[in-house]
Amino acid sequence: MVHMNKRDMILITVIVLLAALSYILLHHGDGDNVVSVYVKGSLHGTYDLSVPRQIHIVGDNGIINDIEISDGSVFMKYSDCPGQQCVNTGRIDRNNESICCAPAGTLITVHTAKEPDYDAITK
Amino acid sequence: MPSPSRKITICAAYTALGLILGYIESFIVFPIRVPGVRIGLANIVTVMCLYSLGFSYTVVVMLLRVTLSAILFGSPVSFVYSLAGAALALAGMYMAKRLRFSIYGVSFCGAVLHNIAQTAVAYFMVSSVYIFTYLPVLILVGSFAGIITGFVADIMVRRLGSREV
Repeated sequence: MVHMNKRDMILITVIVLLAALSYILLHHGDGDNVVSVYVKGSLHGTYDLSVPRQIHIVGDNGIINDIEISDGSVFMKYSDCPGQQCVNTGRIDRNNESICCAPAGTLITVHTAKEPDYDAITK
Repeated sequence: MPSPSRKITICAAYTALGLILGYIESFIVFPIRVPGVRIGLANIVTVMCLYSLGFSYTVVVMLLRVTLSAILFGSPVSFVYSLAGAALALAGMYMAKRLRFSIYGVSFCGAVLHNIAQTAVAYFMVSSVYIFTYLPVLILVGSFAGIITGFVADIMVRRLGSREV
């Protein structure tokens, strides 16, 4: 019976501790239930998803974005932009989902405990 | 030192063993909501081969196992994943063995590096950094599995190694 030597012990301990630490660092904000709004790359504000409110933003090119938080989710209610992709994204409430209005330079990201659904998982 | 034909025969046996272990493993489903968690049973064969036949024979066995496994049970996508995982794992295990880690440390390195390589491939496939948030869980499960497979490989090398190879 070979026993683990000192090198093994050190390696395994270091790697396992690093993994556990990064797990904690990565997941400690999971239950936050917040929405972050970025305009032109900088944080405009972080809002509680459970508190209904309207956010009015004037982004790049003078484009107006009206964001609404209600029913625990967030959506782009109105936008001046030509494509309307942000409006068509609809409501989002799953972790790391986002709405982007590229012409206005607006990015909306949610951080919740709700994990995203996968389209498919391959082995 | 065994004759070349004997070595080739043993390589074939290891390849077959690795294939069947990989196949059995595909039936084991973890009740964890993280894609990609696996035990790495085929790693046992790679470790055994590395200890009994050496690095170059193990490269051949690994390439054969990965290629045949993709043809028989997998897809071109699964081939890329397993090749990346197996290649980095084998390179790391060779280094670990040279650095005088025991069979446990070697197997552990293989398991952890396998997960890192597969996560990296997944990152290139879906180009989302969030993939890496799975890595700590994969490494924790992989560490445990790596130590267990090292234990099994140790027993196997002991039983077979001294007399047969």
